[in-house]
Amino acid sequence: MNHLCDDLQLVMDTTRPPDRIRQDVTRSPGGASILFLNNCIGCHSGMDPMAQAFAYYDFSATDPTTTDTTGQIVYTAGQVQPKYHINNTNFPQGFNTMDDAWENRWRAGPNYILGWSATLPGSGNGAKSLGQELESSAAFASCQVTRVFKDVCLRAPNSSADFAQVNSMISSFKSNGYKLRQVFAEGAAYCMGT
Amino acid sequence: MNVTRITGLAALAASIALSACSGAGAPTTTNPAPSQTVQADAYTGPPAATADVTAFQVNFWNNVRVQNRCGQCHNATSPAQMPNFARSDDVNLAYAQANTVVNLATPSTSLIVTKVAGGHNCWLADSGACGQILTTWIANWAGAAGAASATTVELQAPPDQSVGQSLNFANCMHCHSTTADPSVAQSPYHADPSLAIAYPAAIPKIDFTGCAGSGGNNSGNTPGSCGTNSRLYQRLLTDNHNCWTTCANDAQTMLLAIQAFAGMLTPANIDPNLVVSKALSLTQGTIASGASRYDADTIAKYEFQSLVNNTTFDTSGIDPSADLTISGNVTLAGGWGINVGAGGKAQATTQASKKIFNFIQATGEFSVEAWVAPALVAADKSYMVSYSGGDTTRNFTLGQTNQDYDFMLRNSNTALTGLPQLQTPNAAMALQASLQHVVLTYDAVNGRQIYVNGVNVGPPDAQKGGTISNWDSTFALVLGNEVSGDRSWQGLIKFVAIHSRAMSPTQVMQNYNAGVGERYYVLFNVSTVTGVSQAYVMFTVSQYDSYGYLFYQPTFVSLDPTVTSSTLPSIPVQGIRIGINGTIPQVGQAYIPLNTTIAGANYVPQGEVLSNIGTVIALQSGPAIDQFFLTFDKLGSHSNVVVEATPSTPAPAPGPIVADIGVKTFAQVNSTLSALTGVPSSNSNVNATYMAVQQQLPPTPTLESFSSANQVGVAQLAIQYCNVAVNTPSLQAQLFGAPLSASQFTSQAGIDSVTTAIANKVLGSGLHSQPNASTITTELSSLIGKLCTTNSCTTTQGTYAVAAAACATAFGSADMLIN
Repeated sequence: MNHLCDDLQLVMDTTRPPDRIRQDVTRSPGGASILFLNNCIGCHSGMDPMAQAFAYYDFSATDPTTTDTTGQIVYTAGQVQPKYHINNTNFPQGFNTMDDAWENRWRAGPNYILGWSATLPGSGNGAKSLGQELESSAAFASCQVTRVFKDVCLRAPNSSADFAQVNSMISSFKSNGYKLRQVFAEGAAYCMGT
Repeated sequence: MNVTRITGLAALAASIALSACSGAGAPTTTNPAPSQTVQADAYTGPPAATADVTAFQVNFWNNVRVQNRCGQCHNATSPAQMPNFARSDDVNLAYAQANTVVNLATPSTSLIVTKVAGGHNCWLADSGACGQILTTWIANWAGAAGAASATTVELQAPPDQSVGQSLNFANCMHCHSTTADPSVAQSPYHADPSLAIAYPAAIPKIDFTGCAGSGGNNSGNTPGSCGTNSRLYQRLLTDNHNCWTTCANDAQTMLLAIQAFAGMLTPANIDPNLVVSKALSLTQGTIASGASRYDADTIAKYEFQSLVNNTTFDTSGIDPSADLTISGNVTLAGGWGINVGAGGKAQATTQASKKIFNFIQATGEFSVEAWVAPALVAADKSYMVSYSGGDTTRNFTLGQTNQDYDFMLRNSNTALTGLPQLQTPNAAMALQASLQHVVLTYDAVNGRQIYVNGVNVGPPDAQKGGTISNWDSTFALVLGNEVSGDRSWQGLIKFVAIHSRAMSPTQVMQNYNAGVGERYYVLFNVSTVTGVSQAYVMFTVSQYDSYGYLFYQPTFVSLDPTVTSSTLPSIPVQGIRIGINGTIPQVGQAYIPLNTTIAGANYVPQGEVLSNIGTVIALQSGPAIDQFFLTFDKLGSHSNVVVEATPSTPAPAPGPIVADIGVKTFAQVNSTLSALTGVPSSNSNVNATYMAVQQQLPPTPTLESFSSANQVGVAQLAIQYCNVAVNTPSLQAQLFGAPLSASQFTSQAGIDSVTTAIANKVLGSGLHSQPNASTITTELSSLIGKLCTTNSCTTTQGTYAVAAAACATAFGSADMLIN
């Protein structure tokens, strides 16, 4: 959620259907399903259908016996990586990942306000289309522009004039091919004072 | 197991015990006398006529015909109470009578089981435990005769019930809000000033179960249980979540508010527009008994169905019953099981535990089987099942070390402590905070083995080949801890069994597949909606734990044998929701995305599976009371598609007025000082100071967050930069325009050259607001004058020190810091 400027906790929505939550996610942590129903489900019900976009990807560490992070990305077209099936007996009635078809369940419910693109279907295969889904959201543009505003103006937008300026910069950002340089320039011009 | 075998084994064990090592044993406690078991006379009647009669004789009859059980009344002599299935004169006649009171396909539904479990002359303190034991004996009879594997579940039509009433609500208490400080804002926003945001957020957190009157009329009377399932109440009461006075008081305040709110409402019938099934409770379903367990060698079994006088019962049917006495933080869990908290344990007496020693010594091998859900995955040396005398002396132990299962065993190749232990590999992280089936097996050939969820995950046993003849018969069986109480384990134990044989991989898998707990086929009547005779959507349902039900594998089925694949019409099914007690829970609705068509071609007499996905639905009032139903977005020609409301984006709220200027953050301060002084930030002296004060420098650029501690950090770093610059000849000349002399500050001209150079460095150009250069030079001249009265400004060292101080004063000031 780093590129939407929200903590994951702020998009928690326990009312999404849990049918795409994988088998490795226990529905009764320590024997208490109340934890799952009030907490775990809030993120997993939206997150897991999206994470499926990376089903063919893995990271191969140069030396898996250490915490060294050097290595390379592995991509196996049409073949789900084994990591998607680890601990699949935790909840055998859970979702079994068969391909890299992702779906954005947060298009409905409270997270509708993140402003998902009406021109995209909200589902697809693989990481590229998921990236398009995220970057086409209003929340993504708003996030980047607000960050620039804070960097340049040394404060968060907090007045109606500021909000209008941010909206203007968002429109400009989206219509100019998502170029941050333009956003920085507009922010600096707004905050340079008189 | 028959009593003759028990007698023989007891004699054998006694002789072994005499030769076993003595010494360490269980702590000395007063143990209750073992239960008195009256043994039956040896059978001298006609032999069993068939294999099934033999199975009956061995597994059932020999257990019930003794004088302190059924044989006291249902015998052949006096009082010869019918049915006299416990008569000892002729096993074949007893067999004929027994068949009138047992159901080999579903032993738990046998008349003899329901009668005894209902309170009819149980020989234990808990009639439920007698029912379980009888169930075990009948299941063993059925299993030995091959009856269970050959049976199929016969679905029974449930009662025809319509969906009941519920209460809805229109407001709630306020807590979380979108207008909260972003650093603490937390969904759900049920406290938002906007009702449009607060209301839907509060809906999943308030539960009006128990509020509606029995006649469907609330009448302002709110019973004590009204609203107690609400998350808003439980969060305060049990989680102590940010209470504003005391949690008990605040929880009560919240509950009263919910109850007062409920009192304002009138019960509502379910929306008549919904496409809805008939309703029924869990226990109105058909018991699912398809998978049978392997229990032929079970010598102790705990299903935790009841807790009477702090005792939970050994339902293996093998005497003596090694019942467990709980102590400390142990409670009965919903859906069968015990919740073990910190310090709790359940322990059998040493006398009763001795049967474990006796049976296993006779075979030289054993298995320990358990269904457990560990509450912690960071737990060192926590014991789930142990047969031991303390932490330093044991026969065997199933333990947990973080995410590994441990198997400690005393044999001729290991120590009396059972070490070295066999442990599942670290990388496998076999132990999960989830319900798991764990089996330890031991035999001399294969040594120790650990199975988790049916799979052998342990490494080969390096100590295999030993014998267990050095076991101690004076130890006690304990669950959830060590007998000495210092190896507390926390979590849920749903089942434990000890077998006197090492189970084969096939037997382990069989018991894993059999699952744990009672499952029902719950059939929701949809005949009216689909127009198909005796049509049902069937779920397999069980109570998952104390807080929820597991629903899985929805299947369309008709109990009308005339409905076949050739006669069944095509029926579209979309968007199934599971309702409970007249309402449709918001959470856990896994079948909303379901979109399929029941096609006649795929239909078989067992039905057509609609989905293999399962889901957990929150428990409200318990399995005996909760009433379930289904709704459909579309079923057949009926539809009522639920369209979610589209939330509106809240307008941004103006915040407090803040400064238009800000300060440089930590890295910017470091880079600026480097640029001003010419000292590279990689210089070892300044880098050491930077690393020391980095977290003291401003982390954010807002002026409002700047503190005096930040200023101290800036000053320290500025002094270090200036000190390095002044004491490095090339940088000194670059900073001050010319090298400093020892007499630099003895003349005003010398002072002015230094202050002017510093002012030129620190001031920007073309800015709208900044101090005049003369303000800085005057202040620095004054400072140098003061310092030179207390420091010798006639030496090179003294001049350098004063110059560095003047430099740090200017470079550590707001002139540098303001962005």
